[in-house]
Amino acid sequence: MNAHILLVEDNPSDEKLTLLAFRTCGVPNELTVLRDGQEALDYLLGPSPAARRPALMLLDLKLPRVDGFEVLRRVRAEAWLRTLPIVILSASVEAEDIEQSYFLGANAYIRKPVDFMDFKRAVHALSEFWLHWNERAAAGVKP
Amino acid sequence: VQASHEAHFRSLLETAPDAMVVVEASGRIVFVNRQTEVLFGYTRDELLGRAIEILIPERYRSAHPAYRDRYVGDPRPRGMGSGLELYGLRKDRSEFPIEISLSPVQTATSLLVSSAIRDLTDRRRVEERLRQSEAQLRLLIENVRDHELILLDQAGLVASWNAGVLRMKGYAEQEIVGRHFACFYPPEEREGDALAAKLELAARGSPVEEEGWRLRKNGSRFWASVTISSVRAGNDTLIGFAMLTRDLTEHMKAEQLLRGFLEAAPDAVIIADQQGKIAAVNAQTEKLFGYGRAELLGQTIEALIPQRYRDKHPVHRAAYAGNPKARSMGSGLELHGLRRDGSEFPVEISLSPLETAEGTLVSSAVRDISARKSIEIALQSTNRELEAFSYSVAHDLRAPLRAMSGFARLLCDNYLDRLDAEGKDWLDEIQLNARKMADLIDGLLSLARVSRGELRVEPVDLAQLARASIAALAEREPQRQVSFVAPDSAPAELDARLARTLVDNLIGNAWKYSGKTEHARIEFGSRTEAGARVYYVKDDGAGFDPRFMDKLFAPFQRLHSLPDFPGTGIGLATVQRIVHRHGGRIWAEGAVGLGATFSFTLGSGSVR
Repeated sequence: MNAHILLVEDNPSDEKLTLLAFRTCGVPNELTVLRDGQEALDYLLGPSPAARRPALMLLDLKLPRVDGFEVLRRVRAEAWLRTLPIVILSASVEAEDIEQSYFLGANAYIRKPVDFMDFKRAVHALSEFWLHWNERAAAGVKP
Repeated sequence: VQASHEAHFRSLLETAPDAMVVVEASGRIVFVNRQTEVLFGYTRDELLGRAIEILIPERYRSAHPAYRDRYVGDPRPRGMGSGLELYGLRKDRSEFPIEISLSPVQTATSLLVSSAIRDLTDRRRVEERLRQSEAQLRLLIENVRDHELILLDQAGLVASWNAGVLRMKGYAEQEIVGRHFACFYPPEEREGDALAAKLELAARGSPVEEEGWRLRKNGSRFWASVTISSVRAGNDTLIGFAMLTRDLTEHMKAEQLLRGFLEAAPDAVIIADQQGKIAAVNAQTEKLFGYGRAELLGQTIEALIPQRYRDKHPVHRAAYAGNPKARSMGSGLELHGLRRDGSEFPVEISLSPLETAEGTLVSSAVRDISARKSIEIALQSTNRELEAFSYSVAHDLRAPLRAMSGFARLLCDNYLDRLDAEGKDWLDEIQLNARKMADLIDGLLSLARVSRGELRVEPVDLAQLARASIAALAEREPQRQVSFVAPDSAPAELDARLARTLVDNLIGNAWKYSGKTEHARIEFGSRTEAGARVYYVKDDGAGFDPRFMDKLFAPFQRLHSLPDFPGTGIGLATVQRIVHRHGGRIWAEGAVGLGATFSFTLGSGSVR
C-alpha cells in the first residue's frame, strides 16, 4: 500500500485542480482531502485519530476556522509529528508568510501557479521529491 | 587769687576749639590763643597790641570800628553780623570764611570783648557741594521725560513740581501750585476719604504704589503708575509728600501689542520663570487646558503635565535653563498635556527663552495634536486595511484565475480532438488573459509592497545594480544587440531592496522600449545639478509623446499598445513611489521615436 497524501484545501476548484494535477502526473498515492485547519487537526490529533500517518501533508495557509499557521504550530508541537513532511501550497508570496511558515516548521513552500502547466510541473516535482527521492524518517506513533 | 584766676581763664581759652581773640574796647588785641596762631598764620607776639582790624579783609576794615563801638555800647553774647558772610584775613593775605561769636568780659578795670572765631572753610565746601547736587537733582527732575514729580505739603496741596507736569498733565506752574492733588484723580477715585487715606498711609512711612487712571488738565485720562511717599525733615518731622507719576500709555500700547500677539497665537502660549512658575498665559491656554487664567498664574507648569511625567520635569526644566535656545521639546517623544478635568491630550511643544528685566523666562507654545494624531491613527488603520486588501487580492483573486486557467488548460489537453481551430483559439485566449490578469495582480502587489515596510537607507552603488540588471536582461534575450554605458560607480544612499527594484524597472523599461531599435544604446549616469545629485537612464528607443507626460508615472497607464510593447503599466509607478519615499523627484524627457531619459534625485538625506 502506498503512503497516502493529506491535502488541506478549502477551495473546491483548487482541490479539483490539485487532484487532477496529481492524476495527470501519474502519482498513484491515495489523497485525503480536508477542508479546513480544524479538520486537519481533528484528523491528526483528534480523540479518534485516523489510523494511518500520511507520508506528506499539502497545506494551504488561508483556511476557514483554523488557518495553516495554527495547524503548523499545533502539529509541530507534537513530538511524533515533527518529522511529518509539510509542504505549504499558497497563493501568497508575501515575505512574512514564507518566513513564518518556515519558522513554524514547514519543509517547503510552493506558490500555486496560475498556469496549470506550471502547477502540473510543480506537483510532479514535489511528489517525486517527497515521495520518491527523499528518505523519510520512520513513522512516529501517537503515544 | 587774681593771678590764679587769670591763669585758669587763659588755660580755658587755650583749650577752646575756636580761635579766641580778646580785645579791649579800643580794639587792641590783648590775648590770642594757640588756635588763632594756627588759623591766621601770625605768632602771638605779632598780634598782641595790634588793632583787631589786622585780621579783617581790607574792604571791611573802615566800617569795623563803628561796629565795635556799637557792641561796646550794648555788650552781650551774640553772633557777629548775623546773616552776613564774614571773612578772616591771614598773614599771607588769603581770606577764609568765618563765623564769630562775641561775648563781653568785664574785668575789674575795663570791658574786654572775647571773639570766638570758627573757620567755615570746610562747612562752606560741604554747603557748596550740597548746593551743586541740589541743582543737579533739580535739573534731573526737570528733565525726566516720562516721570512727573510733584511735591505736596502736609495737606496735599501742590507745593512744587517738575516740568513733567506741564508735559503730562498740561498745567502751567501758576495754575497748579496751591491746588489740592485731588484734581489729578478722576471722580470715582476721589470718593470718600480715599485720598486722605493714601496720604495717611504714606505719612506712616509706607509708600503708596498704585496704577490707575489720572486726569490731565483738559479732563482726558491716562493710565499711570503713581508712588506717593512721605518727605521728612532732618528731625523726622513730616514736611509733605513726593508724588511720582509715570505715564504708562506707551508702555500699555506696547504691552497690548505684545498681548495681542500672544492672544492671536494659534497655540497655547505659557510663559514661566526659571522656577517653573507660570507668569502669563493666553486665551488658547485657557481653552486648551480648561483652567481660568487666574487659576494658572503663579502655579508651577507641572500642573499641566500628567502625573507620570511630573517628577522628572523639573530636571528637564533645569537642563533647558542651562542651555536656553528656541527648540522643540522632547523631539521624537510623545508628549501629553493634562486638562483641568484630568483628561490628557497629545501635544507638540516649542520652547524659547524670553529675556526680560526680571531674568530669563521660558515661553512654551503648546499645540494640541489630537486631530493630527487621530488622522495618523486613521491612516494607520487605512494602511492596515490596504495591507489586508493586498493580501486578499493575492489569495482570493488569484484562486478563481487559477481555476479558469487550469480548467481551460485541462480542456485543451484532454478534449482537443473535439474542438476545431477556433475553439482551441478561444481556449488559448482564456489562458492568455488569465495570465495577464495574474501579472496585473502581481504588479499591484509589488506596487503596494514598495510603499510598505521601513526604509533602511544605506550606501548603494547604482551603477553596479544597473550593470547587473543589463546582464540579467541580456541573458534572457541574447539575440539583442545593446551597448550599455555606465560609470564605474554611482554612489547613492537609499534602501538596498528598493534600489534594486528602482534600477531593474528603469533599465528594464529602457531595454523593452529600445527593443525595436537596431544596435540600441542604453546609458546610466549621474551628474550634479543645483547642488543635488541627479541619476538618469537614457535610451534611444521608441520614446514617448510628451503630451501624455502626466500619464507616464500613473499606475496601469500605458502610452504604447500591448502588442508593440507588452506590460502592466506598473513599472514607472513603482519607480516613482520609490523615489518619492526617499524624498526625491523623478521626471522624464523624450519624444516619439527619439528615445527617453528618466532622471531622478533621492532627496537631501540621500545625496552624497
